[in-house]
Order: sequence, then structure tokens, then C-alpha cells
Amino acid sequence: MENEKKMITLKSSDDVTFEVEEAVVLESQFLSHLVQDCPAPEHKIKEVTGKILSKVVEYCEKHVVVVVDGGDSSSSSGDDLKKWDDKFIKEMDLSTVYDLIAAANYLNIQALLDLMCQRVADVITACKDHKEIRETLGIVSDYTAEEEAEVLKENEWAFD
Amino acid sequence: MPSIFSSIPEDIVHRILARLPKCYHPMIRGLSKEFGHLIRSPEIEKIRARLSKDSMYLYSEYTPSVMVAVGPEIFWISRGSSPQSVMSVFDSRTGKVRKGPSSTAPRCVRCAAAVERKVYVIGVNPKDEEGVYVEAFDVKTQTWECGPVPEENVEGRCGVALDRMVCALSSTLEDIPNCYNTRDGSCDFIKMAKEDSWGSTGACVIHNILYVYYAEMGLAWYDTKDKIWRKVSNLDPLNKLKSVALGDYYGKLALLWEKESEGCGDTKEVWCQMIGLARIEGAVRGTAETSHLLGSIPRDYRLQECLSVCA
Repeated sequence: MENEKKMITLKSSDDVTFEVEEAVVLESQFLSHLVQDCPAPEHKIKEVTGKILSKVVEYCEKHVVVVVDGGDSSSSSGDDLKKWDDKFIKEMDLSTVYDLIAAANYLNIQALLDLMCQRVADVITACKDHKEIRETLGIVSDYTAEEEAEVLKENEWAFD
Repeated sequence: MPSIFSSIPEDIVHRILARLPKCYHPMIRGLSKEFGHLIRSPEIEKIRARLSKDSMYLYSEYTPSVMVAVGPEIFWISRGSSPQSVMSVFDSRTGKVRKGPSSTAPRCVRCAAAVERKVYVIGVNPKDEEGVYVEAFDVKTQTWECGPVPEENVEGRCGVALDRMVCALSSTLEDIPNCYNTRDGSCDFIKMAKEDSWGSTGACVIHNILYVYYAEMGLAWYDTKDKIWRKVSNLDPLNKLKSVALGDYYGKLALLWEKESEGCGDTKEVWCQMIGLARIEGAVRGTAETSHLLGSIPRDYRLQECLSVCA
């Protein structure tokens, strides 16, 4: 059985190719449907660059549901996976995170999307105040100075 | 530079914001008008509920202490007059308690509440009853700092945070200042409704509105403009409940109360009713869900604190 794994080639927008097992592709709802509907050996993904697709493939390969011979998909692998996820997102810069959000959304990989959302949330919680959040995320305030002071002090519902 | 968020679909922005502890919500409102709008979306609480972000903790007193929840942690400071105030920290994610840095000042703690991820503690020097002062524990830096000196002698024991003020509610005090402004140390007061009785655990702030439970009036909210308590409308009579606790649970108000168990056992029951809240013009309208039994607790349990914790 080991040798009969079906391989599929994914090609990024900039023509970088990745050869992966079919099981890896099935992590993506979008690709699952694509592979089922169109049994070609190679699939071009025009919306995702090679740099980002390599990250997506790396994530999916790690997260493929592994059924070990004894049928034991041991619970310790859950902890290992969590550690791996933490490492995966830790040193990632924000622009890569945004690209991965777009890619995970497009390819419909919910777990990856959640992980990336968590990463952005972690970046926000590391900021000391709203000004630092604005700088970090590149948000431009449309409040006037007076409005801003009011928002920061006033009753939330007063602005409905 | 355009915000990257403008290119992220709104449902994904909701998923990001729902992952922030609730104490960050005021900061998010301050980012821009768009974020002020996004953070108030009902979707946020729905996703938070799916992620099991909120939980409530009840605490039965055995040592005199004050407790404050900030995000997933509960800070627990002894009221005692030991030379240094001892602080423990309970992490709801791990279930572990650790010892926090103790403040160095000698004091008797009166009350505490959290404003913007700082735990403000109002205390007095045991040797000098007039010498009220405030210290703040910054959760971010894990250090103590002095707060602005209170302009008046703030009294009261049940601390809640409202509009960046620490309010020490007390049913026994009248025109005595009980609210401390964390920005400048100025003081104000919130008087409890005179004609009604209030149990000191039934108070909580949701969306910056203070709610308490009165034995006669039932659930009431404090109108900060007119400085008056108003009844939450649209609720069936909820009066005469015993040992009431209030908490914020996914933006709804959780009303908890004790009830004698049938027969004579060693336990009593804790019941819960969730109440949705909507501000409509000058009123707060409640939408009550069916009340249900939460569980049983030992009869000698005396409800001291009810804390909403969010991961």
C-alpha cells in the first residue's frame, strides 16, 4: 500500500511546483473538490504565490491526519502539533501572515485560517495601547482628536 | 499606507477580533470608526462562544481578600494588614495558582478593580486611617506602580470599573466619595438606591454600564448622566432572590442565585438566568432566557465573589 500513494502536483502563480500526496491536498476543501472534479496530475493555483504555497504545503503536510498502523493516532501528537503550530507562526512576519490568510481563505483550509487569525490577535495583544496597534497594523484613524478622546472615555453604547 | 484590514473580508476580521481577550475591546474601539463598528458586531460574541472564551468563577470566602479578573487571570489580593499585601494569581487556562509580586507598601486593602489591564488597589496605611492611596499592578509589565493620589478618602468594599473609574460600591455609605478616577485621582460617588437593599456581590459592568441586583427593584442599571438607578425593562419580576451574583457572559448578563434544595441535604442549589441587554434610547431592555439549575454547592458556602474570565 505504501508505494501506491497518489501524488498530485500543485503549481503556484509564479510557476513553482510542489509534488504532494493526495491526502495533503484533501486538507483544503477547495483543492479536494478540484482534484475530484478534474483528475489531472497538475493543478495551477493562480491566486497563490510560490512563497505562500510552500507555507501552505508545509502546514498541510504536517496536519495530514496520520493513521498509524495500529490505528493509534496517539493523543500526544495533539501536543506535538500544537508546538509545531506555535513554531510555525512565531517568526512569521505580518505580510506573510496576511498572504496566508488570503490563501487559507481561498483554498478553504479552516484550521490554517484560524491559526493565522490567532497570530494577528497575538500581535495585537502584544501592543501596549491603541496607537501601537495602529502603527503595527497600519491602521489610519478617522477620528478627530475630540472624537478619539470621547471614544476612549465614553460609554460604548453612546455611539450607536 | 492603507490598512491591510481593508483587504481582509469582514468575517475574517471578526475571527481575529474574537480571539482578543475582552479587556482589549475598548482599545479596538479607539483604533478607528470602522473598528469601533466591527468590535460591536454580534458575530464577535458568537465566535467567542464557539471558542469557549468565557467562563465564570464563584468564590467562597475563607480569607479576607479582594479579587479581580483581567483576561484569563484572576488576581487575588489579601485584605489583611500584613506589612506587605500578598497577591496570588489564578490562571484559568492552566488551573494553576502562582504567587504574584507583592506590593511593598503597608496597607489595608479596601477594594480593587481593573482598568485597562491594570489592577488598581485602593488601600489605607493601617497606621494612618486618612492616608488613602492607590497602587496599580500592570499586568503587561508585571510591576506595581503608584496611581494618582486620591483627592478624597475613598471608601467602600465592592470594586467595579466604570468609565476608567474604580468604584467601591457600598450599601452602608451615603455622601462619601466611593469612585476614584484612575487618570487624575479625582473622586466622585455612586449612591446605592436608598429604599432598596443590595447584596454586595450582585454588581457587574457590561459594555460600560453598571448593573446591580436589588431585592425589591430587581435588576437595575446606573444612569451616569442623571446619577440615578433605573430598572432594566421587559423583565418578569426577579425580586427577592437570595445571594445573587452577576457576571458578563458573552455580552449577556448572567444572573446567579442560591436556592434551598428540597429536603434537608448538605447542599444548596445555584440557579442561573441569562439576560440579553439592549440599550434603547434612555432605557436598557432585558431579554430573559429560561432559568436553569447550574449545580449544587455545600450549604456552608458563602458567596463572596463572582468573576467573569475570558481567555
